[in-house]
Amino acid sequence: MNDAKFIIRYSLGDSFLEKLAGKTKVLLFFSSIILMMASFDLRIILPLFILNFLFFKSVYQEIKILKFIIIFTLVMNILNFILFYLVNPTTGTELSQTFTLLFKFNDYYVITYETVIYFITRIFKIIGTLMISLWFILSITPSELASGIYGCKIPYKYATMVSLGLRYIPDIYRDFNAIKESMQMRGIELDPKKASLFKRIIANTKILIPLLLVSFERIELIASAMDLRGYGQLDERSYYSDKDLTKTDQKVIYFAYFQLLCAVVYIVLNMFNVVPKLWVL
Amino acid sequence: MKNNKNITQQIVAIAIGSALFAVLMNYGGISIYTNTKLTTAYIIPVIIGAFFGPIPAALVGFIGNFLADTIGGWGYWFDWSFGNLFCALFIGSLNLYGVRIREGIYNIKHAIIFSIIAVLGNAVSFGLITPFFTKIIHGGELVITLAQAQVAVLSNSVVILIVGNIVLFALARRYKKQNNLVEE
Repeated sequence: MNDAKFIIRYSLGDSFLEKLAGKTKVLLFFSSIILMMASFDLRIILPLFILNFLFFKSVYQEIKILKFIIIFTLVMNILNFILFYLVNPTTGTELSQTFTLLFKFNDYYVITYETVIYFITRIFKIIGTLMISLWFILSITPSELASGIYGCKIPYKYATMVSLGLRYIPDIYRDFNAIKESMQMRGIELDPKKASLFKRIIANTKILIPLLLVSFERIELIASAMDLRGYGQLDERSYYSDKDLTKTDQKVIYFAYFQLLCAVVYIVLNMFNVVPKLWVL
Repeated sequence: MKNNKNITQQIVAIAIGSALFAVLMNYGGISIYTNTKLTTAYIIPVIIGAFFGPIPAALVGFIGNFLADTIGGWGYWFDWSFGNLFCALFIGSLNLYGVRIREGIYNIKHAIIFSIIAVLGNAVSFGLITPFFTKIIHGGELVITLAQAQVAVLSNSVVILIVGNIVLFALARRYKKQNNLVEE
């Protein structure tokens, strides 16, 4: 499936990240993303960004969609920044309560040092979040994801929901495309230039109904198959892709807990207004 | 472990529903302009809600958004995931006011209640809950979130009202045909 439009992996290589246990990956992912989201401080975000960029680099593969995603995100965010700047040119100043003028177009559109810092922080934050989600999805299989979520003491029924959902995305995408193409062959118009918006909404409904019916048949089929194999009889289960935690795993898990602790401390301090909303030198 | 069959079916329904949500979120868009899209994904929580109740619908909204972010590759936006959780909870609460799709019960009165709840639920989830989490997570980027939220509320409501009602009526009619046996 690696050459398709999705990044869902079913077999892994042997780089550092890919060899970790499912639980370690899930913990590292969540702690990194929470810390990245919670902080608005370049001193935290920059090292985190570099670390996660290296992680991403270690599992990077030549997949066409990856390049597209990264370029798309960059372009979208730069557009976003320009819009954001036009709406409110002094965001950074409002957050940090200081004002250092760098450049002045007119009385309203000024560039302040704080706003520059703000935008730098923001772009590292967004690209960093993207890096975290990409290395995560590039280094995990649906089954490992389930065992990882279960390893974090979440009931395995929730783990099944996530991993089964991830597993069935390619199948449903295939169904969706097949139905869409066969409907178009029967003369349903989806081109925005040729049909009005209302007509296109109705046309999409005609694609949706067969897709729903096919999926509901599939639900019953899968549920019966799982019941026949005794799913849900016991409160605990084990996973085929479960691995014993190695020493490396232990260290990475400690690191993840450390990140989580940092995030919690930061959020608490932020609530009591101890740390600045935006760090400027 | 009573009702074991039902529990397994619910779990699978949430999983498949989330996958459907993710696929439709990414590929099922109806483009208006180049960059604005109406998504049909919000029909899935409605249908799951009609068959299995509001809690599975809410889970579909949350996990579906997580999976959509995963395959979409634009990074994770948990503030929107929480908004989706509540939105799906509201629009999936169909069988609380007497809709029984499996028995073919869905009429104009239900459609009106459903429409009102859908619009209100959307407004509350994306107008209040998502900005609240945005403030917690990202710390004051409310301008963009609020602008996006207005667009989201408007477009989601349109799609849910039109497509949702059509699909619900179609499904109800279909199931009614299947059990038109009369007891003698």
